[in-house]
Amino acid sequence: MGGAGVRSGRRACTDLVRWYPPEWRVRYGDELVALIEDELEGARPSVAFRVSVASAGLHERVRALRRAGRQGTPEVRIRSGALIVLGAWVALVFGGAAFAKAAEHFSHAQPAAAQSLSRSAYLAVALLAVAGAALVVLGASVALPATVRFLAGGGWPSVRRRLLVPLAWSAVTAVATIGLARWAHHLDLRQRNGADLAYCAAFLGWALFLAVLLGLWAAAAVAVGRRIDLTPRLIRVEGVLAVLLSAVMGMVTVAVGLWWVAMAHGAPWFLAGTRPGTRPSPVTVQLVLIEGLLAVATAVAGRGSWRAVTGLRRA
Amino acid sequence: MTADDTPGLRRPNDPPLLILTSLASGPKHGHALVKDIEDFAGVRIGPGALYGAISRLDERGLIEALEADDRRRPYRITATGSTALADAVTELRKVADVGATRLGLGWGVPG
Repeated sequence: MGGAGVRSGRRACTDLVRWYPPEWRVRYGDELVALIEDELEGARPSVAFRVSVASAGLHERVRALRRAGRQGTPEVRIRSGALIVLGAWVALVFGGAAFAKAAEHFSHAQPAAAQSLSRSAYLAVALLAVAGAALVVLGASVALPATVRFLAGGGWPSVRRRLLVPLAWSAVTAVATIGLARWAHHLDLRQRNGADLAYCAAFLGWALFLAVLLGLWAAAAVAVGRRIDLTPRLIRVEGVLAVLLSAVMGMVTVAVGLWWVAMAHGAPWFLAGTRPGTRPSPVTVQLVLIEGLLAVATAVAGRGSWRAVTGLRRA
Repeated sequence: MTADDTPGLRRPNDPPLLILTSLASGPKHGHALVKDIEDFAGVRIGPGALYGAISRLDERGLIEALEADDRRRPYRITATGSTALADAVTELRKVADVGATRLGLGWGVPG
């Protein structure tokens, strides 16, 4: 292998170790990179190898968060709790977008008189989504002056990669969105909902892009949020917003569940995509995954919220 | 600290137990540990799992880092680690003895 190959192999090993928390990398990072290089013997890491190291790194991050939560000051508890809620909110946004797609045109499936519960639940989801987004924007606004100070005061190099990657990904996703929208414009409803396999594959690819984009921005927000210098008062404000946001997330999960129950009772054919009037099982893989994701996100947010609450009590 | 209150020292294939067993024969760095464990246990521990276990053992004082050779830092077992390993292998031995006796393998303890 030539010099360039060695450098790219070393870079691949160093990149893998980025999954670990910074403080862990300071202590064990060089050793782990050396071990990975010894294990790979110049070969490129396989996907299974990458996943194995990444999952171990994420596990260490969870441990570091738990440790910070146990050992930290009230401000540390509030800040880490609020960032956990923010990460969970991003997962809920993805689940909510999937729900919006699954529920598209549901009002055409039943007579208007039979739709009161499903319409109310759907409206509640929409309103709660707006309320949640408003809380996130409010939280970001509260942190904005400190973020500007941090970036202007020499913090940019430490988060440059975390911010440039999602920015580039946003541009790619925007192009993909425009392309997909133009394609969808030439298809009818049936084609857009499964009849055109090529479009479906492209849509799933786009959804994957979107999920990665949300994850990257969440990671960027957490990276900045951990570094900025907030006053104790502002940290408490962020904590209260996080608690409110997790409550909103719980209500979204319940409202989606109610919509599901209402549709299962009144129009199960809509959920299963069969002919109107039939009685298929209302338990579809799509909705199980969506509700499961919402429930997991809510549970994680609840945990973060609890951490914030205990910090607020001690503050 | 005993095997009962040290996670990862209860099952023969737990990475912490394998690492302590390997270090019982002398200090080793990460790659040497992987090779030794593969030789005596037939288990290939990935880098992530190995360093996850090393960091926990290090935090609990069961192993300690020595001077780094280049970037490869050797570890050695501490007195506390030796005690925990002795407790763990004694516990495992009890189960192995009962199994061997009940199977009539000849090396179990009667009883």
